Amino acid sequence: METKNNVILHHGGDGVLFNLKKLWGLIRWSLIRHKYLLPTFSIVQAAFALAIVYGLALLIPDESQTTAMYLSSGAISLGIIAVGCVLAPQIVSTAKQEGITKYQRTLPVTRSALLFADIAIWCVASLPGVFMGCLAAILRFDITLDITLLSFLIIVIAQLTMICIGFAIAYAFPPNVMALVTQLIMLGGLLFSPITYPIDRLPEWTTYIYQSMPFVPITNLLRSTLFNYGLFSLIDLVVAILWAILGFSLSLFALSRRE
Amino acid sequence: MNKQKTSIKSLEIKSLSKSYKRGSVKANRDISASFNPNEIVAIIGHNGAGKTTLLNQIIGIAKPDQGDITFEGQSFIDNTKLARNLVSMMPQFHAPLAGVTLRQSISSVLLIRGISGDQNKRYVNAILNDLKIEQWADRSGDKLSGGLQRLASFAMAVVCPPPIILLDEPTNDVDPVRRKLVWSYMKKLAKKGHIVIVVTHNLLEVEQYADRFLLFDHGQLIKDEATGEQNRPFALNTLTVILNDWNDVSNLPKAMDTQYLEDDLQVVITLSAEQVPVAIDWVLALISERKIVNYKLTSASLEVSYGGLTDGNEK
Repeated sequence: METKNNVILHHGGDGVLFNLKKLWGLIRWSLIRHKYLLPTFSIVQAAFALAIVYGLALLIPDESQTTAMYLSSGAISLGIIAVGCVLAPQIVSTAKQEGITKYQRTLPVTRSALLFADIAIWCVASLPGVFMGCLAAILRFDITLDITLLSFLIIVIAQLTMICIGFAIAYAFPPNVMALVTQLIMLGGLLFSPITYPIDRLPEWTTYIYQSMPFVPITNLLRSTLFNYGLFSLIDLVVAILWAILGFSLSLFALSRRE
Repeated sequence: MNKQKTSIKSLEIKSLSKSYKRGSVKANRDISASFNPNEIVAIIGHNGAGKTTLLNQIIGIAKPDQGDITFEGQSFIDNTKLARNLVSMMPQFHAPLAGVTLRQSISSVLLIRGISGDQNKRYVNAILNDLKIEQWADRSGDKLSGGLQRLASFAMAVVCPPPIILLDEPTNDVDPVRRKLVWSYMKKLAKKGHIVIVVTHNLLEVEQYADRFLLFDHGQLIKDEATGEQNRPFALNTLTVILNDWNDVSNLPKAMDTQYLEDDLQVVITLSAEQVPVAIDWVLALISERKIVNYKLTSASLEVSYGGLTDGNEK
């Protein structure tokens, strides 16, 4: 950037490095702002993962391999859902109410850079939950994880999908509706979705609903890659990616919309 | 309306209109104005007059229903990314400071503007020093007083600033010493060639520091004038008299307007130039009779003009 007497003279030379520097500026700023939130979230996620793996297992009399796999993959999946679709929208919604989002919209960065910066923060925020879910699975059920590039990619896709949906909820709805929607997702995820148990225990017609929503497909993907249990489904991957794109597009639209 | 000199570097506002709630609330009505480099322009008017809406339109947060905003021949309405690159804005409410120190906030904004490393540190230290706020540099923004939060917000807007700077009530809550520093900094920026646009309710500061003012009333621009202009059609004089005894108020001189502030034992008399000599004779007579505690004769302030031109009601 060319400056003379502190007056910025040229603004057009937005190279990739320059834009990455600006993106890093946004990420760094968010990291500093959330420096107390992130450790708190990590502790909550750790407790959440342990509660699912150890707590839910108490409800189930026979500890078969299926139960172990579903509880372990479900713990990771629900952790990612909790961060992406509950915690992230709550923080984004607060930022919206406090005028932080409006202020950020005046900064010389693209709207998508604002989203990418927040996505990066929340991906990092949900990693302790993933780690604790894996650790709990190993300790409780003696499961061997299949850590490959594909399983790592699937974790990232699951995070991206949930965070983008969470952002869309936060940007599209007023705070009270946002709170309701996030609670519904969590209740549905914990109690009714075939995330911590096989889908064949539910009526067949519900299968179509769950397969078109993103929550069960990302769990299936995590189970088939990270736990090497069940078949990897391309359809699940497409559903997850489509939801990520939809969530990102809606968030971008909301951020770009002028009063 | 004052005809302003415009240059290729001017920010041009052309016939800008904006309404909310399906046209029932008119935020701006056919606003046209030019903002030039080397100039501080104050935007004044009652709450809800459309001042902040204009700033939001310039930086691209709000979209006008009609009209255009151009700079160097390019439309900010069509290219909001360009607007954000060429404009920095200090919002009416504080910038996000919670959990971030003053130094980190300024440094982050610089990094977002693409300035890193030693240059970043240099600019941060320079602005902290210029605004005399170094002692709070490493304190979290949410632990600062309202005035210091405003200063932090100001610093974030003006540190390595782009050509156009929008400041929404920058001196609110700021102490008198630093208010002067803020205005001096704005003067310095204008001198360097920046376009500085300030929304404020402090008319004394406008008279003292701004080069020009735009007066808004119910979304309309009703005055666009240099602050130093002597021959305003509404130029008046104000005579304020503080009395010993309220019963001494008698034989008042002929005036444009007279206000009686009985609780303060004050009479505020608005005079045309022709009415001043008679009023002075009246005051001198009261002084000789020892009926006056104090008196003040001033040329009409912007405040008087402002009151005369707007009804002050919010819509």
